Amino acid sequence: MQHSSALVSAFTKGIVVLSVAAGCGTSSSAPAPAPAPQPAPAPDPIALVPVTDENPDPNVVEVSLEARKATKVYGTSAPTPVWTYEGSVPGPFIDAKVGDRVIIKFKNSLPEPTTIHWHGIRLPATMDGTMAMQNPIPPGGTFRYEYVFKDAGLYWYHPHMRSDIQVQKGLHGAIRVRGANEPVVDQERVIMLDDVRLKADGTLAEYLDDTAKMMGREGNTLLVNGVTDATIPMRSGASIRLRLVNVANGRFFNLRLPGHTWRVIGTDGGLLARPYDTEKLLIAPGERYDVMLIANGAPSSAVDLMNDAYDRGHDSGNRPSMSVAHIRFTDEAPLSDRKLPDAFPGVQALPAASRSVPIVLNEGQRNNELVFTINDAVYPDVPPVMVENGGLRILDVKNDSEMDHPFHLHGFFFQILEKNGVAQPLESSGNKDTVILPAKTSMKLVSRFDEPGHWMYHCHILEHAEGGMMGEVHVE
Amino acid sequence: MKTLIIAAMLVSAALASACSSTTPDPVPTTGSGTTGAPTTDPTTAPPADTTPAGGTTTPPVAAAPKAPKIQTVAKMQGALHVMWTNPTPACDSVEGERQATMPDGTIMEKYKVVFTVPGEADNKHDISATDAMTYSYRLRCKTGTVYSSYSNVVAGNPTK
Repeated sequence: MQHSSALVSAFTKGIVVLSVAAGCGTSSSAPAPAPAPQPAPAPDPIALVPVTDENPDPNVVEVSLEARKATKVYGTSAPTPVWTYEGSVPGPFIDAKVGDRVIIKFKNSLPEPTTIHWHGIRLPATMDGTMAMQNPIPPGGTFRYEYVFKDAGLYWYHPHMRSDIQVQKGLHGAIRVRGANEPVVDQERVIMLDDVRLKADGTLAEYLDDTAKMMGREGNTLLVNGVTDATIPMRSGASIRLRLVNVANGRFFNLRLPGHTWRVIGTDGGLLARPYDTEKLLIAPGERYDVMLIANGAPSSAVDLMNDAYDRGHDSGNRPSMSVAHIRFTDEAPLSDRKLPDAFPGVQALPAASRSVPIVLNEGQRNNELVFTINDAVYPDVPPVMVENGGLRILDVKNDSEMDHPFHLHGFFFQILEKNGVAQPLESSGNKDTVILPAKTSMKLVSRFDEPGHWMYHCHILEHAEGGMMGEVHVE
Repeated sequence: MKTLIIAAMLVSAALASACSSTTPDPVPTTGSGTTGAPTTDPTTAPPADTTPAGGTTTPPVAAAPKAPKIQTVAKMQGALHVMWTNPTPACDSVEGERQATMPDGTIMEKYKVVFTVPGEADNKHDISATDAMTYSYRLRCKTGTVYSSYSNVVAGNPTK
């Protein structure tokens, strides 16, 4: 490609942080600056707050991170009491490159215990932030998380204790790890999709009704990077890379941008050998997608990014489409000749595994309560999966329930071998850590368990996880 | 645009239940579902409005909240899931009453309160409605001691 991105090439820490503060990448192919003074660019309406890196070493990201109460104004609502990392929702954005060491000096100033789970990241089990390996960090307590980023991709962090409550209150942040084969684009954005259920007085609805217990809590207000009614500016003709993560408790996003086709270039675990096109992009809680498009709108025009209905069970497919954000095409002169990538170096297929682990997801009733089960048991009574260090296993996951479940594995990527008995091409699915298992379907996933410790797997509808649909893999 | 009414989000769910449907219009205390067309029993139904008596000499009381409207009674997980809209979500609670009717029309269980949920709720999974019967539901909103009138009645059968 003839153009380049400041973000892609800017691996020096200072430049990266400045770029992030602006919320998106910039284009080096923009017209040369005019000699006359230019007005300051408008602030990015959906900019993520970057972390403050306290370490001068360009290969170390060292930050202080405090979980504490704050208030946030969602649109025109009254101020909402929220729980935050460093006072912001979403929490500070961590931007790094493969090989960087990250040090998080965490302090819990919340009124209850918490932990931080680093979703999708391969790290030592003691750093994974789950009760399987870590004691809760009490109010006033501290903990030092430290590990090395091994893989390029988009990840996120959130509590793994009462996660249905703590994530909903605002505790989540994004992590971008850059690799060696990043595509060159005019603009890149990290998009955190979320929703909140606001009451008339601005507070978050805390009552969990039975629909929310069954389907996962869905809010009445959609958010992009914590912003309601968000506007995303794009330059006509520009190549745009959107790195999306769904941090909602239960809502699935089924994204459609009229006049555009998504070119899916990556998923949870990095870039795809064979990108593919789709009109609708379905993203379950916990999942990430890396997509590109050529901004196809006239300067100064606009179009809405829509969330279309998706049937994930219990007649949920008849809902009206909703606007997620407004795409506003700027009045700059259109760019031309941009092309979308057709291929990247792919991930290596894991070798064949001979041992299978049956995992059956279901729902039911116990003692007049709704419960979510794995192999007919409710966590913590689900027997752990035992694997020798370095062992390969096929996770034979079957969803016997009436609704979809996003299956999430901690600490390891998996590769999708089969869906309902049909082989899946690795080139267009890549490494995953979260995958949707539609109702009454099955999948075979293969993973190599090469890091000792106790690891969680669970449904990433957080009310389902807390309702019992969790298990552990013990690698010893 | 993005501030959605919860009820609107659930309208969908609404509708597709194979075992229930809504009454065409919220007619308090006299509506009926479609499976077995249960109706309220005038001999057992509480009065439509229970604002305390006392005429003009009693202290002023809160205005009665508006009645909820049941949208659907859906078969779900072997039981029934009641979903409604509530025009007074700030009311203290919503009481759900249920009547059970055998296929031959025999009333096995007259209307009685089977659940109470906060006013902000708009659904309830009736985990005990599991038999091969028609279960009819009606709701009232309650603020303090003041009730709304009854909602429409909608019925469902968890085995059909």
